[in-house]
Amino acid sequence: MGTIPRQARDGAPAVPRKKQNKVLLLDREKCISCAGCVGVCPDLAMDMFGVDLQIFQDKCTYCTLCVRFCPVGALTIEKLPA
Amino acid sequence: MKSGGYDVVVIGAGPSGSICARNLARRGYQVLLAEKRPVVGVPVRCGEATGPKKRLSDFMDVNEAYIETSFSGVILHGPGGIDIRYDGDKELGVMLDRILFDQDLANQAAREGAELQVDARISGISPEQNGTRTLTLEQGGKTHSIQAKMVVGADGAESLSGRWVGLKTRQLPPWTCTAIELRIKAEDKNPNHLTFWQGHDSINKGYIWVFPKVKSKVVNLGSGVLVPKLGEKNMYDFSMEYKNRFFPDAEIEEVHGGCVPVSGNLEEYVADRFLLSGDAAHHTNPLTGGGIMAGIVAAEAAAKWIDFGFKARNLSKTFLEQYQQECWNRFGRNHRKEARIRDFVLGLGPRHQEVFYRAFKGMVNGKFSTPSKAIGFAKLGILAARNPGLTKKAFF
Repeated sequence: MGTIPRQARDGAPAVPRKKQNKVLLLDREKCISCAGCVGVCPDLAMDMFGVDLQIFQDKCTYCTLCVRFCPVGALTIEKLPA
Repeated sequence: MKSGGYDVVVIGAGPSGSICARNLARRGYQVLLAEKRPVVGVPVRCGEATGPKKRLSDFMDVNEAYIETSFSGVILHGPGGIDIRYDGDKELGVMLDRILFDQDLANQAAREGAELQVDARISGISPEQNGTRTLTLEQGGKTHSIQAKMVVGADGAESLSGRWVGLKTRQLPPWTCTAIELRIKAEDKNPNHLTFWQGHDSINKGYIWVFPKVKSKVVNLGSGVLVPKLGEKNMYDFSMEYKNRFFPDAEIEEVHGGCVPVSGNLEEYVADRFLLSGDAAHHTNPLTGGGIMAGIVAAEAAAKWIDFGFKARNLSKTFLEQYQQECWNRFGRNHRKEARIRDFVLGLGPRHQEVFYRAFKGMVNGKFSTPSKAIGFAKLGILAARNPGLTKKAFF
């Protein structure tokens, strides 16, 4: 494990993805507004409005990084019925 | 909000943003300090321990109201039942009440003449045009566009401002910690010590802490780890386990958490008429996760270099790289060393880690006459941990 961070690929053009029947859900009762998910999200798919977390579903690519990150387990990815 | 624009817009009223705004306003610049949360400092995203009062007083008038405890020792519970206890005679650091601390610093900035706006969310930064950047600010359902000659992004670990101007500041999983903290209504047995658990017996990819806050009679119990794999136990359950073990009957007052960048300083965090400071630029200690002190130091350096830049009529990226260099000299180099130590300790297997901790304990308990001797012994400890077979032959 190196110590100097590999740089993020934020500037790279978005790779077109196959549309997935998934949705990123937030449990607002569990959420503690720590905003860590905003920092780790590679697609800018969420942002804090004051202390409220908003998810932009159209930008999300379901990479599960925020789900792994969330310290209280408030974020989940669910499959939509086909 | 002024229509004519500002000299400097500081995004985020945390310690770093407030100090930067305060120092710039003191030098006579028109400063806007924009905070997206409705109340400065709420919710807390911090373990609330920082360096000693003497160090803090270099940067501000320390107000006793937000000093909770001053601690002079550390207890570290390592793997294999190795408990390391360090009792210093000097003050090692203080516990803060972060809400009061943040608010006090924001007030200081406002008193020096900076304009503080809360509930004001910056939602975009334009590229530089004719010596200004245009920011989009949302407040109370209205959108304003404001002109700024210089922008400081001090918006913490979840920083998006750097990403808007094209800097690569995203938190990457191997170098990011996820942390949670329970504020428990209880009194710790060791009110002058910070207590940590680390190692394969408790938690390897991070640590668990208990920080006493004596004045408000609470204890901060928290845990932080490098971002876990999908489906691993989350930090809340982990902290609850420790809470049930050590404070079984105590009431939980509050739960807060956050993201800790532990990569060491970013390679690049300045752009034309833009710079990042504090957690946004990953100015946190990669070994302990503490970032208040580094954020304050960086903010002071940022204010200094922005002042020089205005005087030299040059706020280009090349000029502001001197700020980056100063941060590197003042703490960045040390942070990289600490990141290496962390990677080494976390990379050890259970047996090797025990050997390392035993050597570390010897270092702490032994009375070393000079710091260099202590460092030499630590190196020996690392060598011993790397070669456990040899160590066994030599010592045990």
